[in-house]
Amino acid sequence: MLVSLEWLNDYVSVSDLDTDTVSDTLTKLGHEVEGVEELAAIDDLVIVGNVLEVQRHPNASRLVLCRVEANGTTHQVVCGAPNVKAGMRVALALPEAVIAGQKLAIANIRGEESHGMLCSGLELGISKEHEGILSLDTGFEIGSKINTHLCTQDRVLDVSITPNRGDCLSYFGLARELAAKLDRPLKQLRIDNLVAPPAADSVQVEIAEDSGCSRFCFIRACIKDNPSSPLWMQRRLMVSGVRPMNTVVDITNYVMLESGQPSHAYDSEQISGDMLKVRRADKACGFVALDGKEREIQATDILICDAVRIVGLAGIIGGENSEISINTKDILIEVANFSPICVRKTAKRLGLNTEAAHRFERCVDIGNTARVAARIRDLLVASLPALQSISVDVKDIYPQQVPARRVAVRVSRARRILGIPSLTAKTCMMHLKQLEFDLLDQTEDRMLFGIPSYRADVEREIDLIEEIGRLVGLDKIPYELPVTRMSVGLEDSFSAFLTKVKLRLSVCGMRETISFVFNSAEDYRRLGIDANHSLHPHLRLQNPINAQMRVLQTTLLPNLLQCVDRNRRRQIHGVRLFEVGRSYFSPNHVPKQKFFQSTAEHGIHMNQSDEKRPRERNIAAGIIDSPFRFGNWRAKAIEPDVYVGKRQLLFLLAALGFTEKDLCIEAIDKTALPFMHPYASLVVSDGVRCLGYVGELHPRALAQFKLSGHIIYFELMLDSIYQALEHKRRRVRSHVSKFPAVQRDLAFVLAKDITYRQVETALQNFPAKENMSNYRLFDIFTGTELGEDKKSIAISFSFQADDRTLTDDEVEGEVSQLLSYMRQHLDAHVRDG
Amino acid sequence: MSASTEVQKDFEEQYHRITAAKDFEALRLAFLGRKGHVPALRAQIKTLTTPEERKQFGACLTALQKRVEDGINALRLELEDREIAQTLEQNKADIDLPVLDGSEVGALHPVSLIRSKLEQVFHKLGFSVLDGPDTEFEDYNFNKLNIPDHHPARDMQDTFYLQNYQRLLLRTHTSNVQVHAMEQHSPPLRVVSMGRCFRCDNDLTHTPQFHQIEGFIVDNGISFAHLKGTIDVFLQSLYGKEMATRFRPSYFPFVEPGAEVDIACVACGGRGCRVCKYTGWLEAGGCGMIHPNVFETLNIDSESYTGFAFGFGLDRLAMLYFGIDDLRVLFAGQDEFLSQFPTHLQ
Repeated sequence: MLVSLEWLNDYVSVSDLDTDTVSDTLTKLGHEVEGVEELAAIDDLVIVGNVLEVQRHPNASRLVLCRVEANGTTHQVVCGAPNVKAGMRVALALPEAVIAGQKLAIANIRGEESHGMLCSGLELGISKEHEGILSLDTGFEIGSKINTHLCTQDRVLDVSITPNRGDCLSYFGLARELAAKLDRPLKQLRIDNLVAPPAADSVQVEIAEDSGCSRFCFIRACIKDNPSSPLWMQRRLMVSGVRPMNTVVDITNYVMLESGQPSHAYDSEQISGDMLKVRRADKACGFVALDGKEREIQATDILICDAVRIVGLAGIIGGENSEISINTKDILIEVANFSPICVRKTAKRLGLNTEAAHRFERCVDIGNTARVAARIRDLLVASLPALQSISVDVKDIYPQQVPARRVAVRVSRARRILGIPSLTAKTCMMHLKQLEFDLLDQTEDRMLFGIPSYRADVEREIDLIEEIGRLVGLDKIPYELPVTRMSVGLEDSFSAFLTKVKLRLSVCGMRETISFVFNSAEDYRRLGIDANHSLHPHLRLQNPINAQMRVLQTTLLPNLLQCVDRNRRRQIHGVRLFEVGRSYFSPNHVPKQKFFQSTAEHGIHMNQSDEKRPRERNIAAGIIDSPFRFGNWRAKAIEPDVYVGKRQLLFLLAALGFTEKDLCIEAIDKTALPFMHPYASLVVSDGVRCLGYVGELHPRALAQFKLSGHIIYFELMLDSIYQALEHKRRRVRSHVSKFPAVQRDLAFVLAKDITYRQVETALQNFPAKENMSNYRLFDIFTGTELGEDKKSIAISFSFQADDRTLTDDEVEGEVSQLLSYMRQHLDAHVRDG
Repeated sequence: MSASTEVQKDFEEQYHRITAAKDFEALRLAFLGRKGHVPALRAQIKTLTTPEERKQFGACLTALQKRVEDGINALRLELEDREIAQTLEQNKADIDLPVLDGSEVGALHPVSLIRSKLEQVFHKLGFSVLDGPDTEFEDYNFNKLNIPDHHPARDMQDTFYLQNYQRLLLRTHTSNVQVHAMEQHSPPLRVVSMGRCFRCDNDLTHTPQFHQIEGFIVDNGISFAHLKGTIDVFLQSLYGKEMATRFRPSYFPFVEPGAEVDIACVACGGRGCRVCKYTGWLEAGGCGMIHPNVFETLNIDSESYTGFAFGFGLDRLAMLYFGIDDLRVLFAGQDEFLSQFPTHLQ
């Protein structure tokens, strides 16, 4: 809310305080000042002039030459305003005057000199008028400075009002807060009930019981015309961010800003049957509001209707059909109170966040409706000289008076909650009285207060304690650490586990990124995932930021691919990125396929297993762009392949506590992971649960994302890994042989399609194994000299005994048995030389 | 006698002419070999007549032999050292050559760095770290936190709703963890939770996904002073002991009294600069005493138990910590940006 201190000063005196003090005080009360604007006074060189004569400009049809009397001389001024005429009092800006930030000079306009400028209200910052020049009161002394008549020097604060304090969406409300905190008197609004000719009160108002309207006041007036409002009012509205319209509308806006109570003026002549009904809509229909747009009314919206039509949406906006114009002769002003929830539902649905709706949603003071109507009546009488008649008094329909609330507060409780041991009953009482709470009863510790009708937010003890805290000042509360009993923490160590995983991945040379969990449905089609696939993203947002961010991710791949793309576009190749995120599955589409089955999910919410909850799985995903290593002065460049990825994955799993024996490596299921290379990808499991997968991305999927080359991707199922590790305790050998091992390197030539797993299985089943303690693959070789269908696998074997150093004969014996075994089982021959 | 002196003189001459270790063997053979000068002299002992002469000459020869042996050994070591030194020098490395190509060094995301740092801090204070769901029922995100349907406070948090699921949304704050924790456990509770939050907001200073840390205590006798003390400790652990905090009233429906926490501008130390819009203060988070309505909804006796709760933006804490002035860069996945961060904070 924009707050002019010049206006605010009407209700609490702040003119003697510097801007910082006012804004600090408001901020300390909880009304944060987000900005300050200093407005300058009108330049001293703008003076009151008297137009003596208006002649046509010889060289321009739209301009005139004016002779303007001021300062005892006559000034020739060129003017283009349509309303300038002889005898008019005008604001004459002399050469050198600064107007709207620009300095004037004597100008030659189409061959005629202009010694100054006649100003419009807009140029001076005091009214909306920009088409014509300002016509001043004939009482203003010719030659006097404009700024002695019209104030524009002001300070405007942008105050943010929290939604619980609807009462502070007004000058008077904020003044009340300042008066309490600064301990200054609050200047009450005067209601003078100015005398004017009485109008006939023929309008009937009916309020339906379920209409959410609990009070309805109105006044009626006949006017001759409805000109612009007084300049001071226009200026105050403008600096408060409201556009001046005409006297009647300006008064309703002015009073709304002043009191926080919205009101609405109808053109009475347009209201048929001289009656208004406040009722719920009974069926859907159209309604054209003041802004000229048609809106859909639904049953249950609250309407203001005349005998035949809808003339307003209660508490939100009036209808175009009964809008006030400058020609309106007969007006009806409604000052009412509507249910916050009803107003909010309708305003929200129609996207109509009007000033009125904003205030009604946040509760308008029901105790003040009639006074505000009386205030409007006073202003109409005072501002409309051509007023012909007006209601003698306000018609007030208030069927069920809302009783005043009473709330008790214990000083001991206030002390304990705020943590101020020295807080006294006297201080509490003083502050609550400053806020106009009415002390009704008091015992030693307990005080009972009557709550003013405008404080809808104060309902129970804690609300009064907050008020005490606000006025004492939160800065007066000491800094302390709590004294508590020791207790066992609630957590499992899953959060710590996630931190560990991130640390390990980063130590492996990968860099962490964080992406938004949103994807487009199109991303999944590109990956080859159709609507029946387990990874189809069933969770969609009702109100996404854009179509690219419509679905919740089930894999982190789309985001990581986009990261690679973004880097490549900047000529950054070879990135290795990882992300620890979640995949989201709808409760009706939890993946059933064995591969995607997760054994557990983590989080405090999982303790109450709720079938209707989406499933969130923790995933660590990584992407390795090519090259895996750039060529440098020591080594050649390396392209990433499945082995690079497998190494990364196993390294991480080993660091987390898996031994090689715990893990099973299997080929991927092409249909489960259609975006992975079918022959250069693998799945790691612990025999029970899938722990993750890694491999090269399918070239088709890459092409869909406009990427080429080799890219490695992996995902680790962190919930499953955590669960697999939970009860794992490693057993170790404490005995190490004292006797040295003997090494033998053997190169086997065998059929190309024999996998390493077949070789290993054979070695594990070697029946004559006696002293072979270990083996290590050190080379794989293919070449024409071996034959097209052959390869060579070189393995280094260790032989070791616990009780002696092995002799050559012993080792050779076992080796020759191994050779004949390998020949028999795999048709593997030892390579010569 | 003079024969031995001459042999020694001869040795000294040849000895000083040697420059390479390989020439020593020839010198050794010439003097100490079977047909060398020293054995030849020793053969002459017999020709001497008196035992005194023989004894004296023998002593001379022993001295000569020692001199030759020692001389050869000493020089050999010296020359060998010199030759090794030469070889080493020939293999001199250019220690300035680059060996890392920049891709070996990993990094954690700045938000993760702050997150694990804060996990440590709160562990020290005896808090449990809990994880909560990102997708949530409206009840847990709003209603049970004293934000009923149609409450204008819902406007403060533009919410993403899920299609086709009744009252399911993406959580707008981590405060849903409060509800879960209090539903399942009885006080005393000391909990922090960190994670993703979502609001339907996308501009220079807002992203639709952001990250929060939530903390709360429920126990007997917890006061606003404890809230101030705890937040002060946690912010100082990030930004240093001299960092000042300011609490000013604000409104969050699930706490009362509610407050916003400002910290002295980390860029200018509170003197006023562009970062803090010349106010000297930066908004860091919200906090307050847990509202008795929340306790009562969750069947916790609001008379005997009180508690505080706070929520801070991790993204903002990270930006202030590292001096990052663009929020969007946090989520852009740019390697040039990410590569600047370490794998952990001290």
